[in-house]
Amino acid sequence: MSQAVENTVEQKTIVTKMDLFKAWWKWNLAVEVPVSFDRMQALAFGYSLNKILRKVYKDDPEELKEAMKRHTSMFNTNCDWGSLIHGIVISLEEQRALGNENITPDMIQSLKIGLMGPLAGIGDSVDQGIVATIPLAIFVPMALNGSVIAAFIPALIYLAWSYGYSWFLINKGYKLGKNAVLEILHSGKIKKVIDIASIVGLFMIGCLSSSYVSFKTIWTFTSSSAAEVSLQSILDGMVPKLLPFTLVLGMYFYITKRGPRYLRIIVFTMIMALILTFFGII
Amino acid sequence: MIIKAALVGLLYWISMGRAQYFFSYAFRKPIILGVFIGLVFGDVQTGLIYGATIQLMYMGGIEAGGNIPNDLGLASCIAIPAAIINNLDPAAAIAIAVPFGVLGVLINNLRRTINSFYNTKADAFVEAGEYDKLSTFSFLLPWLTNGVLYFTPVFIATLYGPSVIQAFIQAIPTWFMNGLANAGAMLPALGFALTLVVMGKKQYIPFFVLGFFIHAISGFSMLTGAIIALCIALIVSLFKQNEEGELI
Repeated sequence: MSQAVENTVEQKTIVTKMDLFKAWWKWNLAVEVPVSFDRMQALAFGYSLNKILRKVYKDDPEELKEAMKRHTSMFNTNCDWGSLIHGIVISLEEQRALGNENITPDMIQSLKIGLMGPLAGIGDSVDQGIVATIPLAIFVPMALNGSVIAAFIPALIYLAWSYGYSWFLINKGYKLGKNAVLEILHSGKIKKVIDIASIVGLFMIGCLSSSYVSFKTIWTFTSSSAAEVSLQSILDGMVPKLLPFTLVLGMYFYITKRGPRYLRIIVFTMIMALILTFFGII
Repeated sequence: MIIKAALVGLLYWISMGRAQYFFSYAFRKPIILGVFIGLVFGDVQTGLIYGATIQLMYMGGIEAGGNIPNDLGLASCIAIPAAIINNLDPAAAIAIAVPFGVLGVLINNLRRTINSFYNTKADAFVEAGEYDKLSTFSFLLPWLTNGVLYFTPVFIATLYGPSVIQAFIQAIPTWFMNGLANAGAMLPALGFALTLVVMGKKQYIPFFVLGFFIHAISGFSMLTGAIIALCIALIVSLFKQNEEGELI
């Protein structure tokens, strides 16, 4: 019985290779363009899936509207590694439209959110830290000697990698969604996968925050023994990177308690930074 | 000069407007912009040298979560034309590039603030079922808006030339520039905090804290972080399996 159900699901497809190509192209085209503080790349994700969602849900306007809402909600990941998510989401939406009720909107949403953190963490550091930087280190000295070709080689390496790899990943994700994810669904492992992805994601957001948020005090004072003491060294002695940690968690609690007032947070942070700098504290 | 200024403005829009992200990311490197700005002013070699010199300074900047630490595009598009016109020393070109690299972060923050407007429009179009308009407001209009934001300052700066640029830099007090740089270093916190909110599971926040301090102490690469994170997640799910029925 379950064999028969799987077979019918396997055979039907609505999304063609061309649809997948267009979704991939539009994602690359738009990804960082509509980025905002409150939803990050949400609209770019919706833009990429717009035509496919309209195709798979063309007989069901209510489902279509719900799907459009899902995919214009907060999303943020690395552009090429994140393509894996598009592939998986496209195939899940397709299966859902074909009548597989095991795939719930909740499940699609938590897979999306669960995967974006780990992929962003790994992707940003591999793409920008390795693929974009190491060739620069090799070729910039040649460019300084006047070689125009050397100036272009790092860019070409980066472009070949990112276009090639993201196209590979969106296809990989689509296949995964069709086969592996369905299998995992049947065995009830999906909750476990989402759990693992969430833990990895949160841990990596921690690493990223520690690495990229910088907030240090340069304030010093004279102690009783007349030696210069810097406040930062005292703080470091208690807990390393205490200030950036407090900043991230402070913003987190402000958003959860007071709601999404991003503009207020940005303006407040900038004014605070200017005042603290003016008085020589940071 | 108007045409040259407009061309440099366009180069800046291509580099920071971010249509085709991979392309614009590759294009905004000072070393590439140097060649094209050199082309505009009819001296590719000189442009290349200035570009490569500025590039050396910005070698390993990572834009985590879309937060740019420095706007290399603005640094290049202001400093290189000024340097070519005045035949400046490469070190002097860097002195112009650095403050504009910081100011460019402001343009990016302004852009992301304005884009919130398109989110509210998008919600209305989804509600009304107008999905073609949703597309237009998701890419084309935000892209044209940031075109105005990016083109204008570079066009004006190149048009009025290096003397105005230098006067502008001198008019800005040092504490203000440093303050902006400090704010730029602090603001990525918002993106991370927001991701924590969206991932939503309060009981998992300790994993964030753990990741933060383990990294703060040992400062490993993100790949190492991913391996540690995966191991922790697998160990946690192992415990859950043993107590099945209670926790799952």
